[in-house]
Amino acid sequence: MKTVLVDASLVVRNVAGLRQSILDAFEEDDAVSLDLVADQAVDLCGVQLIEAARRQAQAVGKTLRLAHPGEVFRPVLEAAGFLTQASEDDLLFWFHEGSVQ
Amino acid sequence: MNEAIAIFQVEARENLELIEQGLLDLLDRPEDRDLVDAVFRGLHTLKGSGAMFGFDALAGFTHHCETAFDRVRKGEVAATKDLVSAVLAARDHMRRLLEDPSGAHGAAGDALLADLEHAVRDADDAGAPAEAPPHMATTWRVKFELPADAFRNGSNPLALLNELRDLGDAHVVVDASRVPALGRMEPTDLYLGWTVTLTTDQGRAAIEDVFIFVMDEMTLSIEAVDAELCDAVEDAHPDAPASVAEKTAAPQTAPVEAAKLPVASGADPVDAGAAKSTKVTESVRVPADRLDELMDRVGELVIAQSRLSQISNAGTDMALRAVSEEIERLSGELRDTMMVLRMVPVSTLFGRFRRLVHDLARETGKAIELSTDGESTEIDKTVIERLADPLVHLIRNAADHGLEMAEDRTAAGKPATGRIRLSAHQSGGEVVITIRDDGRGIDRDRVRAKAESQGLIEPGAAISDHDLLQMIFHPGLSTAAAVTNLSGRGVGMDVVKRTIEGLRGSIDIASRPGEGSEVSLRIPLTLAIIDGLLVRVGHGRYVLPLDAVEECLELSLDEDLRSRGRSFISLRNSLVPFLRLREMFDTGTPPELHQKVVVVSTGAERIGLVVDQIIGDHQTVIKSMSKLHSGLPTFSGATILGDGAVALILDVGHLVAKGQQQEAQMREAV
Repeated sequence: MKTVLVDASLVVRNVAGLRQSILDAFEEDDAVSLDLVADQAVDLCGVQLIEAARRQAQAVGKTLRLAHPGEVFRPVLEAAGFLTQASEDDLLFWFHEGSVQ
Repeated sequence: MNEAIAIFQVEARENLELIEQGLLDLLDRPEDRDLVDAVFRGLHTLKGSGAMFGFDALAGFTHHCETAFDRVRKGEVAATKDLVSAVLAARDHMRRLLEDPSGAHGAAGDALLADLEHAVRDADDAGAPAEAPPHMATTWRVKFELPADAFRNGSNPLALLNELRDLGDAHVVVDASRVPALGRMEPTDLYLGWTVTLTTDQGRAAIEDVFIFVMDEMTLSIEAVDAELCDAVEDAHPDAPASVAEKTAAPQTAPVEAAKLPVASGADPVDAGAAKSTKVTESVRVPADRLDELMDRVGELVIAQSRLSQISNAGTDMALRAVSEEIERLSGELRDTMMVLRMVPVSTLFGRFRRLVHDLARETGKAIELSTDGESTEIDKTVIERLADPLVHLIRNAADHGLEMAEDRTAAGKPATGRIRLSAHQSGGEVVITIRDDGRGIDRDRVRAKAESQGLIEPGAAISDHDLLQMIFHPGLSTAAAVTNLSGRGVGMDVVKRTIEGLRGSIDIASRPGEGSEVSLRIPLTLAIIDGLLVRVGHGRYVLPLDAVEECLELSLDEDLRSRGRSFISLRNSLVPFLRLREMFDTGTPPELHQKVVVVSTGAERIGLVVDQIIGDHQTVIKSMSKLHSGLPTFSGATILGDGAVALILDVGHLVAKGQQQEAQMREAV
């Protein structure tokens, strides 16, 4: 399990760097964990990046998880309508809900 | 950064143009919400971008105007004529702040804002526009996608979604289907779209308002959904109302809304920009001087190619000749393409006059309506630039001298509103622009009296109507009884005529008493390349614009000697003055045995130019004269001939005037 430490706010100006870190991590390991520093700022661009990382993991047969339940993402996910029709998979990924982690 | 500021200024100027056009349209259609929104968007953009580029005075001033105009947008006050005119005046001030950000414009700005505030108050006292009937609660399906660069340009989709939530009960579903895998994504591009099922009593316009600042680049569809069906779906599937509704609910006409608003079909999202009448075509902005540079290169290529064809035609090398002909064809095509590149529609010119007419109407107290026709006609950009001032003067004249006051028009059985019509059409290698008014027509008696008092015609002399009207173009002749600040200073029509002739064009005037006047300008399509007549005087070669040449005659040595002292030739029972270019240019060469006279004309006036030899027609790429020679009025430019030699282009207008002057002196001497 390769852990990517996200210690900068997950917003539009930082997403390019984080994208590369996640891609590098996928090169090194089949399982990647994103570890967000507590109370990190998050915006819609950051959420979209993580969605893209989930698709990447699926495409290349690897796993991606959040190290901690992503409560920090909840306001953005709700406001942007991600949770209106969220699947079990989605809830499991974002909030570690509905399954033993 | 300076370049960024320059680009901002160019865009801001365009934005100000659009604001002005929108405001002028609003004078005609004060109820048009789209116009109000367009103007508001323009002000908002100007404020935001002005602040971004450090034009703080502009941003601050525009902010006040935007705030005032926002009341119109919200429907609190009507877009009265006074209010729109106040915003127009404020727009002019914004232009000043844009061009001269460091200038001290504070007091002027404050006065304009006070006027604007006053106009808003008056409009408020006059009562808000008729209240729209209250909307019934309607369920709408709003689908939207923002442009890919939305994150980078500061658009915030969440703010838009929250605004929709403020309107009523909103059910927001994200569409993340376009999000690619991380390796293929551009991390700052926006790939998300949204479907919002919104139940609100605010009406469709309120929903459109949410997107007012992003509407131009996004896709947006707003469709009414049968509310009852939605309720049923929600009851049955509380988890997935929108998706099921999408599959089952056909777009329906909403009971109140549909009566007033077209409902977009859900099948294909409406491009929000498509509703606008202006068609957006993909284009690249190129600085004008680069185009000029390219034109120069093409001109040089044409010249080099003609040298090449001279060389190849002189030799017997067939391969060289074939290549030369191929290059000739290509350079010809390149030249034609270049010409088209420099063409701009006259609408760019006509657009400015709407404001002029609006201001003239306010200044003169007359009701004036401007209509335009043939705006897609294209002219070379240089010509357009040089036409602006003469046209301003002609329109001022029409408004000031031509059109009568409303009560006089009514008394004369005419509509109270005076009409000025601007039209353009292409005819051969020329564009004809006409300025027509339906006013009182030219007062011939006044023109005659003026002309007589100035000694231009003998008292009581018989003169044709055409010639009498031509007097208007004489320097110092003005028929305005009172000197106003619009026209009537006696400068103008002569300058207009000179400018048009400087463009190798002609001006004509027709007028019917009581019915109005019409001024026609015939302008060549381009100034860059002309068909010329190449002549030789002494050892030098010169070009005469072919369209000014009437005929060529022979001048035998005998005739030349006979006419010494009085340079006239008899041409079909009329005497035409002529100029001996050999003497004018002081060639120091003896005259040829058989000299030629080239008769040239500008409108009604003709003179002969005596040359040694007529070489033939010559397609001439016009080069402007160097700074050193730019003061020589006899020449309008220069060209390079096939053999590399320079030939000067003669300014026919100047020569004709000189010939006429010489004739007048002769008459006085007799």
